[in-house]
Amino acid sequence: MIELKNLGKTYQVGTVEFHALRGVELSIAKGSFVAVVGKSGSGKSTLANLVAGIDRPTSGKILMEGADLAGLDEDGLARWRGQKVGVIFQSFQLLPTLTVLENVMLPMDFAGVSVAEAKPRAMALLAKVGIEDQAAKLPLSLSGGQQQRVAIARALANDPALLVADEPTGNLDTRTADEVLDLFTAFADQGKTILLVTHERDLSSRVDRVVTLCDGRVESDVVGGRARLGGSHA
Amino acid sequence: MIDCRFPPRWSKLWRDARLEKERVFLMFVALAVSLLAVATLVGAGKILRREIRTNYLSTHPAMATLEIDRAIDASLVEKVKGFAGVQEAEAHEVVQARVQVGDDWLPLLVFVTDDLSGHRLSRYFPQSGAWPAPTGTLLVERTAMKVLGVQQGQAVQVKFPNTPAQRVPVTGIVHDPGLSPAGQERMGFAYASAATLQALGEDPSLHELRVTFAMDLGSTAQVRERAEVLAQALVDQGVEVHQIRVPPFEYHPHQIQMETVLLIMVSFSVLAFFLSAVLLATTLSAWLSRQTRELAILKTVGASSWQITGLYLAFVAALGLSASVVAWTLGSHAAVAFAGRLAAMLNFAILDASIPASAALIVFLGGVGIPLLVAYIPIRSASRATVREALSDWGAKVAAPGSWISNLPRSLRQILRRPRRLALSLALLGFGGAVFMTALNVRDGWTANLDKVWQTRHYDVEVRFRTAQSDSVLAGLAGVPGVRRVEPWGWSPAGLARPGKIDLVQVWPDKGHGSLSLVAMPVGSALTSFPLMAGRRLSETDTDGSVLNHIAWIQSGKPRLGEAVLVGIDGRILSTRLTGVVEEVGSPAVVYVTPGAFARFRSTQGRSRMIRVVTTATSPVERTEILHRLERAMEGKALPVQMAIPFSELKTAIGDHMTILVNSLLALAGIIAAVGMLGLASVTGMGVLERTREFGVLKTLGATPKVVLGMVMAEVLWIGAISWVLACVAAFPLTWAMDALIGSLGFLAPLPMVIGWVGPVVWLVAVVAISAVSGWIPARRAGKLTIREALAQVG
Ligand SMILES: Nc1ncnc2c1ncn2[C@@H]1O[C@H](COP(=O)(O)OP(=O)(O)O)[C@@H](O)[C@H]1O
Ligand SMILES: [Mg+2]
Repeated sequence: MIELKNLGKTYQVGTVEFHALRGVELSIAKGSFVAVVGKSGSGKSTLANLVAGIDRPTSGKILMEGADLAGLDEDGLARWRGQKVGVIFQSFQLLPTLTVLENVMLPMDFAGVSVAEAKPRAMALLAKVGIEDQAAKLPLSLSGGQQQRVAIARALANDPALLVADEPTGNLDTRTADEVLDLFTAFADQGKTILLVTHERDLSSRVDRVVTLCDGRVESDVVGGRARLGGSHA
Repeated sequence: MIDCRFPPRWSKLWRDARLEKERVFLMFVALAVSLLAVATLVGAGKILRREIRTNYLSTHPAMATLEIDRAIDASLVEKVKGFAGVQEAEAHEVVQARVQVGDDWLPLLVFVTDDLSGHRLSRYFPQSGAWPAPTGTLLVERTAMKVLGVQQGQAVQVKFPNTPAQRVPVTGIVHDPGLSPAGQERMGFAYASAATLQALGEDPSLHELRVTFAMDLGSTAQVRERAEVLAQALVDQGVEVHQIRVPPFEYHPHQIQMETVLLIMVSFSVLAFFLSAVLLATTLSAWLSRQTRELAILKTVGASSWQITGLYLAFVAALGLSASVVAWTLGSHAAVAFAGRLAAMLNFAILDASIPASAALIVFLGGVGIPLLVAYIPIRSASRATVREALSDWGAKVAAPGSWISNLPRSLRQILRRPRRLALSLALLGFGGAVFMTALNVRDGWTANLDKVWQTRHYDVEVRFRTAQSDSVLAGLAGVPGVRRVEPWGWSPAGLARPGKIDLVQVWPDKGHGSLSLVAMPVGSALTSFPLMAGRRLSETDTDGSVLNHIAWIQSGKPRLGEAVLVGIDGRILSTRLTGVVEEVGSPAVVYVTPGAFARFRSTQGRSRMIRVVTTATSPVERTEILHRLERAMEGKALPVQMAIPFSELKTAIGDHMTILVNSLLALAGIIAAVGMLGLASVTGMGVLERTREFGVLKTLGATPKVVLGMVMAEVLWIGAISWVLACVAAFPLTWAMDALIGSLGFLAPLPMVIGWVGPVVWLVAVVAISAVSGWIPARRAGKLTIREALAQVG
């Protein structure tokens, strides 16, 4: 259960203050698949970053299972992120000098998992996203869709309960994007909580909820097709 | 199965480092070279300190020497041996003779014992020839052979105190590690038995009672105490003790010289190494800033800032460790070679060339520790950057341009954009330049200090007599052709006196090192011009005043003006008040009093024991001729000359100590310059590389490669210029500190502060040249990149 309470984020640009989020109230049930949509600049990425613990709010609270994220220092937050959250970016953010396999093993490395244990697990994850045959390659030699699959496998490395994805399909063509979205649906079916930022509107049938942001506020919050089909394991 | 044996973070570090291999190699070379210098000097220092001690102790140096005013016989020696705590006692004598070398008469110290080969204190070791020497012949210290210009088997012309000059054969060569090298002292050292003295017609009696005490942990203070108790006991039994001589405990007379040279060189090598560590930190910080995005990814997937810090610290440690291994492997050989050369200069033998493990410990701890310490700051700050800043396209914070910044030229504004990096680069270059200039300044300061030796003395020769001679006879020497002026000065060896106690001095057996003289300078004499450090000079009316040279002032515990200074000679005390302190470089301790006070104290009215002579000579050859005439005139008047020291000899004697110091300092300055230049090249290259993308953007806006090149060059030259100014400024306090440190150790007074122009000019030329080359190459490459290539570079 994730609760956002009166969440606000203000950026300081020179002497000007810019309110990217204001008074966002949202609670996301465990296991639900939530899409966040809205125009460019509406604050979607800001929200995703706050939920993933990449950035800190300037006002309000984020409660994870009842605990305030503000109580963690930077290193605590990093450890928490490594164990509990998988983050996926639009631009993949893979490490260019590591192989696909190593990229996936990386979160396990920082979490203290031995190479011997991490390697088969990473291979299994790559198999799950369908690119185990690319494991020895460097990310830049892969196609965009393949790279995003690596990023997804990496996000799943420590088997986190929460996945936060910021426009994961933004750099992909429609067909590849569909395949990637299928992966998310599959993970949702396995019980992961997913926050998916996207500007693809026709997603509502796949998700439990669609939250629309506008100028940093929640404009609407509607139930999606998946919830009605009873796909959520809340 | 795919090969992947290492945790991925280490694989990342390893592969990233390999992508940077040129720069990593540069860092390694800088660390290794400067650490090699450290290892060589630290290792050599450890060997030398141990060996100078074993050599010195192998002679069984006397801890104390009691000057007795009658001939010491066997029963007295036995009696002293029977005193509680006395370990060894033995009768010795040091005769101050003169020896002819070419046409000159040099001082010759003849060390005399009853038994030439079997004595137990102040020993020396046979090198070749007769052992012991047949009666009537001399043994000569090996470093003195060159000074005397004789071969074993030849004879030398010697003037002993009481007999006319006579030829004495040299039948053997010995090594005496208890003395400073004869060449540096410009005198001869010879050894004879009492029987030989007798055979030569001299007084064979021995007056020096040399003793050692049984002690667990000795110290100079403890030896003094024991020696005083012993001397007092002898006095109580009716044995007259004139003076107690206690040289610093287990300390070779030239050890301080060696320590000074080592200190200078070790400090500069450590500075060079520190500079390399700064270079490493600078390079690393640039590397890390290019890794910002990747570090943020690591943190996103759960790396804590300490895990990242640890990763890069491990990299630094590995680099430091490999540099240490190389430095130690080569340095331990270089240390032995260097120690050998210095030992030869100081006339001691390296019996054991092993380097103590503590030297290795210093090299490895420093080699790994200092880079870690210096690199910690940039590493820690890079690992703590927040993820959002690094990943968002909102990018690096651009300093809000203040009004003064926007008025600056564009290239200058550009380098101010990254203030932290700029600060590191400037620190690196400025520090390198400052150390380079300081090394040269210290060398010049040292030379200038030695120049003072002759700038402050305006006479050609100083002659000391065995006893005070009539001033009117001495004045007659002014008639010798070529002699312009003869000034009689009062002179006597003396000690600082303590009322009610026997005089105690800290003189080594050569009677020169650590000695103190009481000197009467004719009031208003123009023959010396030692600068006043405090108070004022003596006038005729200062009958109880004294001026101390700085060495005597320090020896006497730095009294304040007006405080009492007590000088003792032969058990009598002259009580004076301090009126001034002069800086007198190149002499042992001297207490100056007025001629009137001196004559009253010594009862030498109308007589003097020293003359200082000015000649009309305009060339060394002429001076030598005049001195020979003077020598003959003194012989004609039967003046008992104890020693005549032509001033040029003093000059060479001190100058000789110098060469190795100057050369080593220059070598170290070279290493420092090289590290600084490596740093400049690397910083410049990186700066350009980082901005490849920016140049791409500029080119889309129409900038030609030439414009890009011009931009880069302007920026690089700005950095070079600013760092040069900083280096020049920083060289002042650094030179001041080094001059103070080295001067106080070597001369008991700071070296004169010389700020040379060669250092700054050389550094400026080098900075401009290296900036130009190291900026030009990458800038040209950047200028030639197509826009697409440039923009594709990961930022
Ligand atoms: N680091 C930043 N500094 C200043 N303004 C920012 C920063 N990041 C985002 N913004 C502003 O905040 C608003 C929300 O941005 P973002 O959350 O990225 O929107 P979205 O992802 O919906 O396009 C935008 O108007 C953007 O200009
Ligand atoms: Mg966005």
